[in-house]
Amino acid sequence: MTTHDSTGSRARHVPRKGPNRVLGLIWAGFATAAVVGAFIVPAHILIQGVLGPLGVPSFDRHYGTFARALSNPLVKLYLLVLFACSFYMLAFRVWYVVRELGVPSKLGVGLVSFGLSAVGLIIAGYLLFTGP
Amino acid sequence: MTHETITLSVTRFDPGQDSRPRLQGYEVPYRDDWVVLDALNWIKSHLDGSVNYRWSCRMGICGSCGMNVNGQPKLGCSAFLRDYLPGPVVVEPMANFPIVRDLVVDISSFLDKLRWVKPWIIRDETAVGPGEHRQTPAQIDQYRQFSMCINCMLCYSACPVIPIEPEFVGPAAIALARRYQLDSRDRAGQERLGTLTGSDAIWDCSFVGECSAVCPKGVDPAKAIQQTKFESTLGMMMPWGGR
Amino acid sequence: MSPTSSRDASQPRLDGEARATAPDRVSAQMPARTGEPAIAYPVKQPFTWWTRRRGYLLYMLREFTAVGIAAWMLLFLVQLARIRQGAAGYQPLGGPLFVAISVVCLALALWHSYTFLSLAGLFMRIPLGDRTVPARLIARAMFGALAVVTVAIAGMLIWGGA
Repeated sequence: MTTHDSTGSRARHVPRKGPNRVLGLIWAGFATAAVVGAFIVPAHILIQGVLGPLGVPSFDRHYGTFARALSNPLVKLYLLVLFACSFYMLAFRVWYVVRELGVPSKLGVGLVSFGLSAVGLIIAGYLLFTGP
Repeated sequence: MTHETITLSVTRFDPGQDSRPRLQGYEVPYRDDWVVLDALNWIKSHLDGSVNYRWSCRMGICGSCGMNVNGQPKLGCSAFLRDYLPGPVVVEPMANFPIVRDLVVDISSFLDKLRWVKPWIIRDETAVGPGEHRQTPAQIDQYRQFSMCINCMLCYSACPVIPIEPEFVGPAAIALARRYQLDSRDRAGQERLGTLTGSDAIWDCSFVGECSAVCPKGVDPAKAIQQTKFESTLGMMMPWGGR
Repeated sequence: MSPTSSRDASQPRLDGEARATAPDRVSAQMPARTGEPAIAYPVKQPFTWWTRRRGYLLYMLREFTAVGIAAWMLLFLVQLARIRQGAAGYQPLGGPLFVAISVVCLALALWHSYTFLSLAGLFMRIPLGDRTVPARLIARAMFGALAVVTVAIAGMLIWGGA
């Protein structure tokens, strides 16, 4: 709560006591996603995005190898983790940066950024688990 | 090239007269060994006695003369004019605090935040026993760096979260809390951790890290905050976590 | 009434006449107030705050890595959608533009890996006897692990395509 006395200074500052487990879990999710993503993301972009199109036999260059890999439920699960980490990192970082750039609503920005990332993850799950 | 004078553009704000702060230029003698604070003192003695600013020790101990020099958070007593040649040197109040007058800002929010983290040793015993509470050099090294804080608030001035979350407890207060968390003599670890993991403390930090970069005493508040995040989430999720 | 000393004479007198005139004297000494009452001036953070320091810019770049990574993952989603067209219709993303975008995203992803893993030593305080494990050692272990994991995943991706 912010109050002002006659000199205009803030009379008393009483921050809210914790622990705030929701904020803690959101951060723990980010730390996990960021560290897992740091380990696994570069390899995918390097092989599938750069070397694959240049001729290295990446699994997603041909229908046969791609479909065979995706028929393995462990691969599906792993790729879902890959998408989850990437989208969660985006949501968390956007949540902070957008507010630091002047958009005022913590809840509003959070709902939009985490909501969009959840939509992305749902699409990924749908494509992974209903595809060939 | 020798410089005879250098211009200081100093923020002036009189709440009774001005609707917003403005910059006023002063030409001061240039000396190789002068700092911004020396120049301000010269202005106050020779040009304009109405300029207001806080200062005391002139040697980076008291933490009073925090200000924005050319847009960067600095102690006025450690910002040498020779680093800003040929000038002008823009001297503004510390960012992220309301301006009371000229370079003087309202620091009452920080004083409240500081009090809130209880930056003192808390013990269980009610009576003082005989002798000292001894520490090994290794135990002191655990917190020594965090104990160097002089409460100059430059870290608050460098933190882009403070303006959007004014209630954020902020870098220095959390670093000092961590200093007592890591002190082997302290017994209030859980209590302080409870306050640090509230809605206005560590979770507001987006780890820009410039609090640590601007600290004139080499304190690393960003480290204090990230370590507290890590340890407290371990404590929340793992049965063996916590302290 | 007791005699007043010279020091007392300089103080405001508390008799009725002085009390009645005091407010006028005060207002005559005060500067005329214009506009807002005298309160501390609140300062807003400009939108361009992140251009003011190198550290702010690097912070923004670090946060922007998430955009690059997520953007590339969206391309991968396109790839996943294309495979639903069947063996005959499947056309993987390729071409110079895709490779160029991927190179940029790879650079951002590597920057994320570098920044986050080098900070691991700062986050973690691992006791070792009466000291703690040096942050640099933790970071090096993380980079070593990144190299191993990258080689392992790259091997799997290529083995799956061979």
